[in-house]
Amino acid sequence: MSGQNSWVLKGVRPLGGEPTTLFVDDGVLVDAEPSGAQSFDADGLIALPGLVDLHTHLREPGREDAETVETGTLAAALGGFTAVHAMANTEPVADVAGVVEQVWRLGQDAGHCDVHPVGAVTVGLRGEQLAELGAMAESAARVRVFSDDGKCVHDPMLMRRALEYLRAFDGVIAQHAQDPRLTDGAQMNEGVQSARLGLVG
Amino acid sequence: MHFCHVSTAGSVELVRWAKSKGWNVTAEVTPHHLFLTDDLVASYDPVFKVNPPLRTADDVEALRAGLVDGTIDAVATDHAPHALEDKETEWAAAAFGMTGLETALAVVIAALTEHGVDDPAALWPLIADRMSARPAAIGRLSHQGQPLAAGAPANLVLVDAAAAWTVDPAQSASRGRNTPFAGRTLPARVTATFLRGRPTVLDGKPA
Ligand SMILES: [Zn+2]
Repeated sequence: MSGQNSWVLKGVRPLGGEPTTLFVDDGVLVDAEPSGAQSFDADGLIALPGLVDLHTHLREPGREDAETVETGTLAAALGGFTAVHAMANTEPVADVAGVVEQVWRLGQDAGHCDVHPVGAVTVGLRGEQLAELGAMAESAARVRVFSDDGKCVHDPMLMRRALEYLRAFDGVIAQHAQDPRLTDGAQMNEGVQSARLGLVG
Repeated sequence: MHFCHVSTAGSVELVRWAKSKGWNVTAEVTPHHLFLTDDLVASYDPVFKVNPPLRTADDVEALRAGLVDGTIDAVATDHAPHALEDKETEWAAAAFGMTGLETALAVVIAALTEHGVDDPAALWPLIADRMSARPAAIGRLSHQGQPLAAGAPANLVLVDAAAAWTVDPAQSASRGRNTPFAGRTLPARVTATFLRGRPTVLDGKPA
């Protein structure tokens, strides 16, 4: 195989090491030069594995005036990312298979980087009732990371049940380290600066 | 359990303690918490309003140390674009959040360099691990974050380490203009990005 996705990257420094040549044959790194490959003068450039973001707000669906999957993933590619995790606080919330599949497909269509939707842990991010964790995991989006992001899951029973569900497909819950009950109305860091400026810390 | 945007010296200590107990926890930090401090809030410019908030210089130092020693597994952007009317308003009414995808790599390089990780033999493997390999593992992505070796999918980024650049929000591909790094000169530019061998970025522009 050869052609569009076959490359000879000359002079690259993998992880900042000695200059070498990297060969790409039909989208896969190989040891020897593939036939029909395009040449790219990468003299002295550092080669890193494509960056992966675990926490990206792409805003689509619902707030396309702020960002779309197209614009957000283009920004990601320009920043060196080949995969991003799209957070669930869209409108509607990514708490069912339909929404995560929509976001995943928008990512595929845009083609700038892989989009892996993050599923909400609870319906509507409201912390009351578990979202369709299994259905999101089994959907085309193959969701593995679940998070209510800014809104922590506080109910320990709910969290325990979520973790039990996730064990079946090696899923993971991403949660803030902070307790929002301590930060209700917080506008900035509590400390010297907030005291000085008179804001609620 | 994975902890989102750890931002204080205390929470770095908490994660370090949990890991020392053998608990299965991982943690992420944002580029802005690795680089910016809460004195910027004195301007009342809502571009610096974010949750968790910007912290002290001591917190920033603890986050950098935690990222270097592996207590913090990954950098994650928390890229949070906002429409102008939600962000460019008085402080109390403004939305929380900052954009970050286009500046993340350069900001992390700047933060680590300031922390003394300036030997290329240490810097680049560390970045590859914290911004690619470990986030891919935490996200259960088997096709991403792999070493640049034969047989791996050609997901890679080529970086010009010598090309400093100045952040201009108007040039951003994101719809969000709310970057806290506007006007700052940062090190290192992305020259090209390849997704399974297909260029998505060439010469620093969309391919
Ligand atoms: Zn977030």
